[in-house]
Amino acid sequence: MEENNKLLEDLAGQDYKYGFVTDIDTDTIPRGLNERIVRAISEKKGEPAWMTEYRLRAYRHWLTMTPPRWAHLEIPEIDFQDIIYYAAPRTDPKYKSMDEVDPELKATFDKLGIPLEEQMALAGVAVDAVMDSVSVKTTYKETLADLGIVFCSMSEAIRDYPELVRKYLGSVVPYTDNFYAALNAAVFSDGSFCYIPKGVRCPMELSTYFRINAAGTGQFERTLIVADEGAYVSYLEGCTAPRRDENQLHAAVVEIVVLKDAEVKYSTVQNWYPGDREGRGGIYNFVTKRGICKGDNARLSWTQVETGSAITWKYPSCILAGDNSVGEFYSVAMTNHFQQADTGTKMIHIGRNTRSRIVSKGISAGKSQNSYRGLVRIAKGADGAKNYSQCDSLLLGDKCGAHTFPYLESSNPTAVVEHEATTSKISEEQLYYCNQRGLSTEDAVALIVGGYAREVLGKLPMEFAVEAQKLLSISLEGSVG
Amino acid sequence: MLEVRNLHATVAGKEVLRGIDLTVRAGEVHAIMGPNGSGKSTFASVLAGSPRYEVTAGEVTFLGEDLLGKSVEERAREGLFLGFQYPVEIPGVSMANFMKAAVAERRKHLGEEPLTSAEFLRMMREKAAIVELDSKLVSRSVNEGFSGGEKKKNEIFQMAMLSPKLAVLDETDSGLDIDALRIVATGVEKLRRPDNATVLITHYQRLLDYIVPDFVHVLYKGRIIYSGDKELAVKLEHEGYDWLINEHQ
Amino acid sequence: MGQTIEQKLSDIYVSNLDIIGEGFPAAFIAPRSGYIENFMLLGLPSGRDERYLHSDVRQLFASEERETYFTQLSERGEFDPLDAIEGRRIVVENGFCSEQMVRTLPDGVIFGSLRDAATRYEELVLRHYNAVADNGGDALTALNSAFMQDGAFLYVPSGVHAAEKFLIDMRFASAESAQLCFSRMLVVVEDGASVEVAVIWRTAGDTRFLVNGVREAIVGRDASLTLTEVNRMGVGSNLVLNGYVRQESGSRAETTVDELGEGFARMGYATDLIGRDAESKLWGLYLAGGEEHASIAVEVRHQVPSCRSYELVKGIASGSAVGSFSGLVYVAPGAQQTDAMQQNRNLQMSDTARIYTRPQLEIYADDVKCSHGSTIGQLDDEAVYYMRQRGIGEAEARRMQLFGFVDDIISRCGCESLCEYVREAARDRLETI
Repeated sequence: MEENNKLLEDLAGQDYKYGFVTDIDTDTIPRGLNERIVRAISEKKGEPAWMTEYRLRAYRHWLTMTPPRWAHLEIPEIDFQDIIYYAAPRTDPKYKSMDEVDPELKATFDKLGIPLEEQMALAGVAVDAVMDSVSVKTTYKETLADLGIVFCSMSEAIRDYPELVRKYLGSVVPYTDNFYAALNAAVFSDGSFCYIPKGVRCPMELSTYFRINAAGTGQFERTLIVADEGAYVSYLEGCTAPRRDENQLHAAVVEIVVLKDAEVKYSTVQNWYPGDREGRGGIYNFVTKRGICKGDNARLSWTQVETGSAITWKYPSCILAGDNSVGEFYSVAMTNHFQQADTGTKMIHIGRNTRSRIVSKGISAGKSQNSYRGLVRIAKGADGAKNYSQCDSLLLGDKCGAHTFPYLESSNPTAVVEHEATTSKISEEQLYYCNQRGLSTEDAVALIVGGYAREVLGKLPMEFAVEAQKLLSISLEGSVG
Repeated sequence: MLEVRNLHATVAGKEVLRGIDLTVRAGEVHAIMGPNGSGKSTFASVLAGSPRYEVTAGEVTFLGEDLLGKSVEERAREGLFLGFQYPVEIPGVSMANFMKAAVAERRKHLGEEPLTSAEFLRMMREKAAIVELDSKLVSRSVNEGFSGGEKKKNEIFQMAMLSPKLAVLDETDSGLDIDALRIVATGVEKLRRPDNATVLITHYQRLLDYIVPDFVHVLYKGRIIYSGDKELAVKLEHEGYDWLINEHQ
Repeated sequence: MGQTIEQKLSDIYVSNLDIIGEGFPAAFIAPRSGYIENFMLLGLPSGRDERYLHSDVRQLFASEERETYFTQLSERGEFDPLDAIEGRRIVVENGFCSEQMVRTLPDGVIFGSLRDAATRYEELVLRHYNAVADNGGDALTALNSAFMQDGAFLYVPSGVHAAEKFLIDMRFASAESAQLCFSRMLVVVEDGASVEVAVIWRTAGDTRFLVNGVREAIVGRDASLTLTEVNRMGVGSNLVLNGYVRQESGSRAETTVDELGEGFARMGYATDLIGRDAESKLWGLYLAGGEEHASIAVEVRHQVPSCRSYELVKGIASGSAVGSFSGLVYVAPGAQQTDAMQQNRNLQMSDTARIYTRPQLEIYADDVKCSHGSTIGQLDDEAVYYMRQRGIGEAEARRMQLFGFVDDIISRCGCESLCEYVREAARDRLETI
């Protein structure tokens, strides 16, 4: 036991692998937030008046709101006037070929293990990379365009597909939804837009990689995915940020609209800089993700592997409006050192025979706090709705916390809602057994944690699953107990 | 006792019984055999009146009266017993209370006086002995925590308690080890009387070593395609169904 | 905009100071102003307050002008004497012990009026009174501690296994006005002692009561407390109860709650396990139909290692009723070898009923076995079919299943005579909901 604790502590000392700074010029606007700044962001991006107006309305509403306090998180006071709300790498964001890309930038993506070119082609991934706030390059646009699939930066979408954006932007997450959603709507600088036309099955995984680079900046990207009737898309999102002693704010919004018979899979591997082992620095990850299954038989599946960020506040949710629609949430959330996570989902059953499934695996180590918070609501008309939730916690060491806060609400007498939760640790017997077979305790722990998270990791596309597994064992280092 | 004529039934819009004809007289034992998915269990469920199936054509008379118009409980009170393939667990409802209510309904239907508590308990003890059912199980909730074998014994125990006119035993032999099979089969045999009848739905011939049927029917794709005596079962055991199916097609 | 409800209550308190403290030694009066301050500071909880989620207590206080009487009323009401239930009893009417005195029994057990006990056994009562009630964190508890004038007191000395069972008959009767009553209990089971006690809440006459109840129970080392609580208050009644239990090492506490009231009830049970090897069990049931509101909130705090806690709460909601369960298992840092299990099962019987369930775990130690589960569902149709196949009518099959569902809890009552009483009551309720 003693020895294992020690090992855990050693493991917890692991460094953040992605913590490097890219030295390229960035184009920023002054610190702070007011109507002028909001207008300036909109202007820099050359947006139409309706977009500027939307941002201003969101900003004015934001002024009336206060940050949410209900989560099981200790969030230091954030000075919203001390943040730079717009920072674009000072390079022409339009590249004709790979040669035009800033070599420094390319090197960054290489270090991240995100090759923009051939490797991705092999992996069949089209990447929209968002660094700080601007979408840098989107690959495979043409291949996708042949199928009528739109996959571009949000800025381009506002310019090129204003009807689609106006129709769906804010339709799932209105700016009135919460403090951070309002802030995002006011200042979001870029993000990805994706539209899959009727009946089209997107042949490759679409992917966005987010990275915060400039000091003192916040990142506020906005993602909007629309799957038209009968369409299918699998979408991946990855995140990293450099090591800094200060905290940085990331307040993103993801909206997904799934129409009749369509299906969207959204996978996230979140590895924002978590702060050092003393709890200094790290990203505040306050994200609103929500999708609506608008039509009958629509399916939306969220898979997330959360290993990064100093503080995580996020609840990818499904509104199951269409009859027979299905919502899923698979999550592995790992916290170590002084990290805090309050994450989970909301499943709102409105349509008949809607189904939802929640599988949440929390792993707490070091002095971290890890909470699952989930809401399952069965509305009056949701005849035959079914939900099943399984929320497990694994504690590594006796200094961390693991918490479960489910909220189940039913207003329909034909609904079936089931929730189960357990808490466990890695037993001495398991470690002993592995040791006896020649595994080091560290490897044994990584193995057992991998097994514990397998059900969720298995939901990720293959390339991501491997990376996620690696991330888990890295994040684990200096934690076992 | 039971007359089935051209019985058709569907589940979720799919036709699973496609014209069954069967006559069962008092004192007889019929075995219904057939490959998986041939409609054997469906037939049993339709006789019992399971709400899952819809009868689309045909008629069934039981003890001279139309059966299909009656509710599940009316059929049961008249003496139709279904031994379930998968007996359901009913938490919180004790076997004793359950049987008390069921026996009371059957007796009321037959115009008999209700049993006193002492009589009822004595009857429980006697009938439990027939299938060697552990008396402790009788004080538990219905089927809750019973092993597979105990659940099947419990079905025959309930049959003994209710003394039905016609017992339809749906795969009562499946999942039983040889001892349990013997106990269940002997129980059924002990309950045989000239004025009642039994329909055994089974997969294997081995049950028929203990209970000798008067007739053996082969059900295939929702129809009885062949009927014979107990020798048919032995032949099926050795040669399978293919020869019959080929002949049928 | 006029006065807030909190200000009104504070004013009532100030203008009735003399009467409120009457009959209590000075040591019981002095802290009261602090409690009313706490109450003002905390404010009445709304339905969004985590502790009272979906039970809008603030609305209860606001919805109707209620009178508070500071003297015992003459109104007695018509009550079934409960003769069939075993045990020594006291009647507490509208918060006042009707005998107005406390008795010492041959085995040293003290049972009776809390106010009288505060005078006669001042030191003993002072040592335990307000020792576990959360006057600093819960507005309603603080309000009760400020306003309470009497209640029930039960004391079992060290090593005594009480020879009889005890029954506290919490009656509320009023001729014609909506009334606010404060009800208080203090139960002390000293080291190595054991006792069984039942509390029954009932109303007569005009039942528009709002009862603010607080109970403290202190269970000493290796002591044992068995508590059965039955709510049978009538239509339109409102009961907001906060029960606190503190358990020393090796102690056992088993609570059974049968919430069969016909009004609004929010019954809260908070247990602190402060000595090793303590064990807490709670069995809960609510039946809610019509416009009723039934809420059971359970909070168990494992402060030290090697304690066990088990809770099972079942509920049925029909009509337009609201049924709610809120559970929290808290495991403090260092409270290793905790074994905690919490289960909640609900049946939703109508399309206008609502069920909320919120089982929570808050865990700060790793070598623990903690689990919880929660379900909302219906009767098993397969089971109904099975029973019908045995000749039992559909309505009867459903009734038997429902009764089986609830009897699982009812049968855990301390004694058979009490079980029978609750069973009867539950049968009646099941017929109507």
